[in-house]
Amino acid sequence: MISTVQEATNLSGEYLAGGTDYMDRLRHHLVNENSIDLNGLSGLDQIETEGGKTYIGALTSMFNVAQAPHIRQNYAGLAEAAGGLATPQIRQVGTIGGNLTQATRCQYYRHPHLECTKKGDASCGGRDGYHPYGVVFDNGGCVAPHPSTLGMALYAYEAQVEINGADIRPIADIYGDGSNHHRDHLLGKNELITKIILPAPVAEKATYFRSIARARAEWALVECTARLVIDGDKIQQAFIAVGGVAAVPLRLPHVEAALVGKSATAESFADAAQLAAEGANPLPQTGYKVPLLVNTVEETLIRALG
Amino acid sequence: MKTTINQKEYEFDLQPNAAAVDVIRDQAGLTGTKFVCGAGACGACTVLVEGNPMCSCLLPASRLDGKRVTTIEGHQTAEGELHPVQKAFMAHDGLQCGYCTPGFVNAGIAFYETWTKANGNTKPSRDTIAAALAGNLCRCGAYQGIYAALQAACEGAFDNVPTSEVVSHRVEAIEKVTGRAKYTTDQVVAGMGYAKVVRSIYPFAKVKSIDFSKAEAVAGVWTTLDVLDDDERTVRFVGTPVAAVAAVDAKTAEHAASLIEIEYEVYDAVVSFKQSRAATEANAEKSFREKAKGGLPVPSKWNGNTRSYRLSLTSNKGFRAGRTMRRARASGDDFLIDKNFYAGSHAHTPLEPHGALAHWQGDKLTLYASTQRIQQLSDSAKKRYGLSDSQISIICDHVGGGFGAKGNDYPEIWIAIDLAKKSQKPIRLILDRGEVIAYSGHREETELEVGILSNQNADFKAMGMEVYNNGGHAIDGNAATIAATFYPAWPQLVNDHAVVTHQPPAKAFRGPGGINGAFALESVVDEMAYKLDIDPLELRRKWDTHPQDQQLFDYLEEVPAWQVRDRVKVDKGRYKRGVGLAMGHWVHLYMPGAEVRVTAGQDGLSVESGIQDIGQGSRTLLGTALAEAFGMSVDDPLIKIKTGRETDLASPQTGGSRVSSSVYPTAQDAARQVQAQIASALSTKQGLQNVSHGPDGVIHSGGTVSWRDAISQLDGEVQSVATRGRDAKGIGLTGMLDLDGTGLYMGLGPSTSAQITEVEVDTRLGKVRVLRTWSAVAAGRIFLEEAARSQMYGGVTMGIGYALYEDRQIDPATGHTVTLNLEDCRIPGIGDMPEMEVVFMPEGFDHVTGGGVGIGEVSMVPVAASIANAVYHATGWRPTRLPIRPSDVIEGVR
Ligand SMILES: Cc1cc2nc3c(=O)[nH]c(=O)nc-3n(C[C@H](O)[C@H](O)[C@H](O)COP(=O)(O)OP(=O)(O)OC[C@H]3O[C@@H](n4cnc5c(N)ncnc54)[C@H](O)[C@@H]3O)c2cc1C
Ligand code: FES
Ligand code: FES
Repeated sequence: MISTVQEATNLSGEYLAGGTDYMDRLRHHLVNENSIDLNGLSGLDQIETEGGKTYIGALTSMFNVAQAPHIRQNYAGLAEAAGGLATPQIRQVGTIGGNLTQATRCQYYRHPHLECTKKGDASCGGRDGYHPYGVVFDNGGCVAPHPSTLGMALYAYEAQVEINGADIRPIADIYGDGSNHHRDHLLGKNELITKIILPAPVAEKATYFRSIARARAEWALVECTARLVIDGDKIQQAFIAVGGVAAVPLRLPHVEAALVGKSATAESFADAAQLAAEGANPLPQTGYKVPLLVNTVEETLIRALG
Repeated sequence: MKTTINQKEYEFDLQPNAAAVDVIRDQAGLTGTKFVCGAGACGACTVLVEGNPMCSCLLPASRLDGKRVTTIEGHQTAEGELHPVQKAFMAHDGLQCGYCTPGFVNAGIAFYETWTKANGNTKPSRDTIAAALAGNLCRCGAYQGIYAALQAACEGAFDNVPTSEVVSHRVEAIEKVTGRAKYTTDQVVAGMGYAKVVRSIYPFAKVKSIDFSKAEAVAGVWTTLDVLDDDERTVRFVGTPVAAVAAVDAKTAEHAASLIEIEYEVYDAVVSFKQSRAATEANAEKSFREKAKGGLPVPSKWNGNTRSYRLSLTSNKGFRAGRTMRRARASGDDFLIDKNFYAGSHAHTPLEPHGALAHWQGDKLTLYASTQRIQQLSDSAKKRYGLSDSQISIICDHVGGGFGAKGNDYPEIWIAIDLAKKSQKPIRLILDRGEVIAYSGHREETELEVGILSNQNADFKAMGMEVYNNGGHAIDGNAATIAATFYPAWPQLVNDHAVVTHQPPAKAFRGPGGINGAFALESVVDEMAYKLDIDPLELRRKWDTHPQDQQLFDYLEEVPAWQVRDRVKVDKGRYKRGVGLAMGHWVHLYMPGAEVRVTAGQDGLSVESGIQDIGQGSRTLLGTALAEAFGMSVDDPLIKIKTGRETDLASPQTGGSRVSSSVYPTAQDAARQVQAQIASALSTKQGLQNVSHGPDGVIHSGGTVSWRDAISQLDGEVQSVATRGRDAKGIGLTGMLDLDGTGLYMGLGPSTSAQITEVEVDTRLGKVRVLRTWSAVAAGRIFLEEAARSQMYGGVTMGIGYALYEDRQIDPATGHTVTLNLEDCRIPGIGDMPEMEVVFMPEGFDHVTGGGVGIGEVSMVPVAASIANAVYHATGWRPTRLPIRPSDVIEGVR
């Protein structure tokens, strides 16, 4: 059994954390069957604080992220995201590291006979096919939005990831701008996420919300994490991230800018949320996501305020 | 690796990357744990690892190392007492087919433990339960019972109830909550091998050659087979079985299958509905006319790729209706409503996959198969393999759902038998979820054009309905035909058009044609009520004067939500609530030739039929028929029920709601005949005088001998086989529907239902939530109330899925099904359940033997329509497409 990060990163193959994504793709012959089992790495399933910052080990289960009192109190937008995604059984087993690096959920990817750039094909089968769950910020390649709910939430927290126990990068660096249509993230083969680093907590109003058709346990059509730092009734700082709309999670700086300095009211939320879809160029079947994006951001802001 | 499962130590040799479910099911033999989606979406494979619920299908087996694991088989105490949650599931009927039950019980137990620890014996809210069970899906829709079960268990209602005193509503409930029930997927025969089917990846192509050499060279491969069943060696939809392989294990079979090389000559296919509907005679795909099977043998004609009836069976005063409608259109009549609707394709996706295990011993075949037609399958197998009655036995004790998807002798059954024959080994062939969704059953996609004409007096003047059915490579669809039975007295001209495509063939699916037809027709009737400014219920009362339906209206009129509704109500603000009403009709079918055998002997009473229990409770129904006749309870140890096996008795298949009315009265007849025999045997033996018999036993001049005593005094056995027989009124459909060999009859008078639904529409996020439903059903006498109620809940649940979520999609360029798993085929979960109320109206079926008919289909017919009407009432926007997705609401409600 592998017990150190170094051992793990020296091997060639594919990491196996909780296995909730890996085992599914194994059945579809979409993994490197040389699994590198991270289960034996000790200390990577802890949540710790140091120098004001919070360190979440990459092997921490989503259930534990969602339940940890420290995360719930100080990073509600992350705790709620971890507790609101997938199903109770999946959250028990799936890890935060695996969530960030999971593969796309596009139907064309897992289908044995359809084309998908993520499995090495030259073109995206969904583009001229079935894509109602696709992106609204289309960049011409793969039409599937990035699957990671936690990646999105971490954008809103301006989190960093620690790679191989050493190298520290902003979360957005592991995804890039989404122009690489063959990859779900940009980590190198021998790069392992060891920790997630959250900045020191601030007094904030934060939440996570997803729009779905059924009551629960459904992949988000559009999802959002919003954090508001409010003084009196004026918004001092705003951090808004959205998922389900682009090849990578997105921050919405123009929405944030429109909120800062405003009072935290339904009207200013509605006005700012209008900007969420600026620059959207939806696909033929994702036009509905443009208003849904705006409305989901508005809804999340209202819920953040509580 | 060492693991403790259910307090027993195991040591396993692990294959690399093995999943926990394989180790648990195949190595430990604990088949209570089910494998359904293999993708974390359904929770059927849930086990407890150190008390925590996990999906064993996605859990690496190595994670069990040194751990304490509990599966469904492991909740009994040493004394055999069940966990309170298991008892509660039995008592509250938290299960139907039972295939999801092990997963639900395990997740439920994990929840119960956490809840009671934190809150003591208090009642959790439905929402709390929904959050905890969000990872489990039930296709039968047993959610109402599951809510009730968990609430009762958490309150401590079962803590002190011994298992033996739990009153359950199905005789096999205990087997289902303990994982002992063996489904086809769980059957094991020593030395069995595993099979895999290779399917065409093209929608339309000629198979020029199949090269098996690479596959056959793989170690562990037993045999390969060419299984293409087409005289022109042509595949006509993606997924057509072409070849098959059997091997020592599933992995080898799958690998070998990937090495079978098939050379195709690819033809231009007609994949999409639109493309096929647009075809003219000049560019028609002529092969459809010869090769597409199915449809009623009613005079019809082809135009392009579309086959239409010359005159639909159910049109009434069709010529007049057509003329009236044409004139109204020409004059732009104010009281004319013409509207087009669309209803998407909908996969049955029963949780137990289709599959079979075939075992030849010499020239004798033992077949385990997941089927809705044991007896018919037996007949076809005998014919196909030249077997005599004694050379075949079929075992199908439990079926994990069917809904019509297992209502034919699907090709994989023959493939398993053929592979077993060729390899001379037992062969198991179980389909994967993608195969179940893509190729093994779905409701057709339909476009419905409906027009209805009234006048200022609110008279029903005429109705016209043209329905285009994309049944894939089959002649399919009868929505218009059924819709015309809703208001049968009025002039109507309807037609069903079968549009053939190179897609997998559709199959009859719970209320086939009824549901989509009701959506279109009941939507325009609703719209007409608004136009006429009449209460939609009042309008239906006026148009449908049948006393049977009036009793439905009487009940629904009292529904509080209906009474307080505004005529045209559009709430201001974001959340809009509304109520909608719709009717549903279903033909009533039965099998006159159905036979049931009752036997009495010293060791008890048995009732036998070749029917199958797919979750509707037919086993319990049959047992109850016998038990009631003898004044006993179905749980009495004297009562034995023999179903789920191939027999010498003509038995109905499950489908079209025909089982109860075929076998229940028949079992009672047989029971009465046996009672007469017992009485006469007893009178001879004991020299009794003036012998007669009644429900309590044998009556003679000296008193009454209870049935129990009478039976115990029998020397040997007495036995009788009763036959259902025909009702005085009704139409025979033998041969016409050709659904089974023994005659299917359509009885007089439809089963009918009506439903009011209350919804809440979140206009900001496009979400429709069903809050409450009230369903009234007229199907005469209900033989088994609890099972019928559960079936009603199931029908409403499935209707909600069809109305709001489920969407089976085909990639237009390639003909491949895109939505291959349960994550994309979004069936309703427990959190989507409204509060449901159901009432049964017993009147109206006195002319039917037994006094009642089935409800499986009619339960689902009005659901989607009543939801759509409620959405209209709430928002002023009328949905014209199913499912009503957030995208539609967002675009519709502006
Ligand atoms: C029914 C269902 C619903 C779901 N819904 C959602 C949802 O709504 N939102 C959402 O975000 N997710 C959802 N998921 C996905 C789920 O969250 C992921 O499967 C899970 O988080 C993956 O974690 P894991 O530990 O099991 O990863 P694994 O399956 O073990 O690994 C996944 C991938 O990540 C790589 N990896 C794992 N750990 C590391 C690491 N530390 N460093 C580098 N690479 C690593 C692995 O090599 C592998 O390629 C859903 C899954 C299911 C089954
Ligand atoms: S089989 Fe494991 S979740 Fe469906
Ligand atoms: S009882 Fe749940 S799937 Fe049948």
